[in-house]
Amino acid sequence: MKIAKCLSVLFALIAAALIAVTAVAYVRFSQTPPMIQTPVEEAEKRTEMLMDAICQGDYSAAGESLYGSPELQWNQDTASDLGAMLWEEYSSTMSYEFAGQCYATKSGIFRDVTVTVLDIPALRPRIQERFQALMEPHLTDVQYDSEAFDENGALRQDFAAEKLHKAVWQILLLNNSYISHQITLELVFQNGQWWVVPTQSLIDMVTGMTTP
Amino acid sequence: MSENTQIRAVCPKNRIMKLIARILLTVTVAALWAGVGVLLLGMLFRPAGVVYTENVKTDLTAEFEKKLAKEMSGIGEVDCGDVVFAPIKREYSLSDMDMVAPKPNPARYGTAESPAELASVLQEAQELLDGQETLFTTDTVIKEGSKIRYYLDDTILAITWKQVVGNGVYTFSEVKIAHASQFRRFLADGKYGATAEYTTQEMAGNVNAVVASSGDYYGYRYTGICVNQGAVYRDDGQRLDTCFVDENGDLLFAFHKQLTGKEAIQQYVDEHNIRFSLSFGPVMILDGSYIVPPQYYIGEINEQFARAALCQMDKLHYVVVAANYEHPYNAVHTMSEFAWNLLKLGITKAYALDGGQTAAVVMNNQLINNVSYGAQREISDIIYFATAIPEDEWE
Repeated sequence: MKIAKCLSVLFALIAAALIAVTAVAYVRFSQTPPMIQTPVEEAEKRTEMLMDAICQGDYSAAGESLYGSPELQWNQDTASDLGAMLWEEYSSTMSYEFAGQCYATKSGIFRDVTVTVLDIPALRPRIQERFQALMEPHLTDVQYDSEAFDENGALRQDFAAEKLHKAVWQILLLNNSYISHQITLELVFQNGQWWVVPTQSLIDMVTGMTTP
Repeated sequence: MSENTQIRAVCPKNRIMKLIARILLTVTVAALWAGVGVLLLGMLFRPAGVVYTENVKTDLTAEFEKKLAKEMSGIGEVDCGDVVFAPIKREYSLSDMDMVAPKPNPARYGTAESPAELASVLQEAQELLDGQETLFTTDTVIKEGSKIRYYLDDTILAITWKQVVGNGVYTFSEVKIAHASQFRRFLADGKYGATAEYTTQEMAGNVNAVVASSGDYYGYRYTGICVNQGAVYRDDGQRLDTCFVDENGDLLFAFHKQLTGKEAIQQYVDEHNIRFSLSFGPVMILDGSYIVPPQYYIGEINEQFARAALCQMDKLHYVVVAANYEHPYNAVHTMSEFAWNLLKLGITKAYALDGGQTAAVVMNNQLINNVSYGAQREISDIIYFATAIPEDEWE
């Protein structure tokens, strides 16, 4: 009888202790972000591999770091003259700097990166101004400028295209317009490795002219 | 000793059973709490969320050029009298996820009494046509007393007219679009399998169609292949020819029995980047050849009924046709007569849609053809062509 009572008390104390531990654990840890199970270095290395590949223009390698292994392709044949020039400058001058290490939140694992790219929208007025300046001498005397106008007085498209090309080239030569964007890279761990999720902001950054 | 004590004294097993019960109860409760604890502690080690499963193909050039067109629109423009050099043209496109297209600009609609009046419209559309010839010309002979309707902006040219053909009246709507996404399909209530049905005119108005035609009325039958937004909803390819529309706006045909089973159809859809499909048929004309079969599962092809067809003239260039009787031209045609007439008019690729009372062509929210029995049938779907220019950019 005495033993039974002691056992009852003991079990009651155990139960009470378990309840208390659970309550404390809930209160203490429910707001805590998750801990990263696998080494942080591997996740960070993946983000570095991705950003290095993008900045070097190695889109095949960049795709290997992206979840879902998307195919990123730049096709020079389908690019316009203006597009090709600006892309060359945009992709070759892109640089990045990580703002710290990977971190975890309730929704996943992330790493912030600041990417500095050519500010193409800012170039627009400068290119247009330069183009106008190159065209101006040829617009004053339409009748006699056979280089710029055909026999019907119509502007030669190839002539104007050449002037535009020259304007873009000159502006890029003197260019110092760059802009920085902060992007948050999102990571997932699957099949034994880390992947960077191809979010819209990442794709926007890669394909040019993100709005800050 | 009390009676109870005496009973207890003679039942030692009772005590043991009670003790075992208490132990079991405590262990059970402890296990339950431990389980809860594990769940809570699991919050510490939540795995990262994984959702993305699609294999994306991103054409960086196309994306960059699209953004360039938006950001650099107008660059290089210089006004030299009537000629403007405009190297960067803004490209407009629509998303299949949008149920409704941009509203057409009312100022861009027009009517004419004779084909000659459309000479200036055709001239203005030259850039959009990009060298392609139109079925409609200033020499086209239209049905007497009928009007020609048109719509033209930078992204779409639509001309609708009536012609007397084989003592029947064919209503043609010829459309040239700038981007494949402007050729669209709408299912009633915006989803596959909706039980509600509406007239072509109602649906065309709801989605802001410039021009719309009745579709395949998929809701009426259980056979055929039905693809919408790249997903296969119906996979019975045994009896009907299918017209697939791919991401480039091209019509791809699969004859009956050619594609069967959901897996095979989905593979075809994925490989060819199919956006949607139509399932009536038959394929009437292919590469300029007449190929109407002698028999077909639906459509009563050897009887005389009103007919409808979707035709492709060239890249992003289509004609929708409805063939009806209209006083005093009271003939309606068999499928072979219909196909033969289209072939003679110069159409090289044509697919039959649901005819009879279903056949309807709508432009600017007005029913154009003389529908059978004087009233539109309520159906499950339409195909339509839309402008891609948003309202805030109207000129």
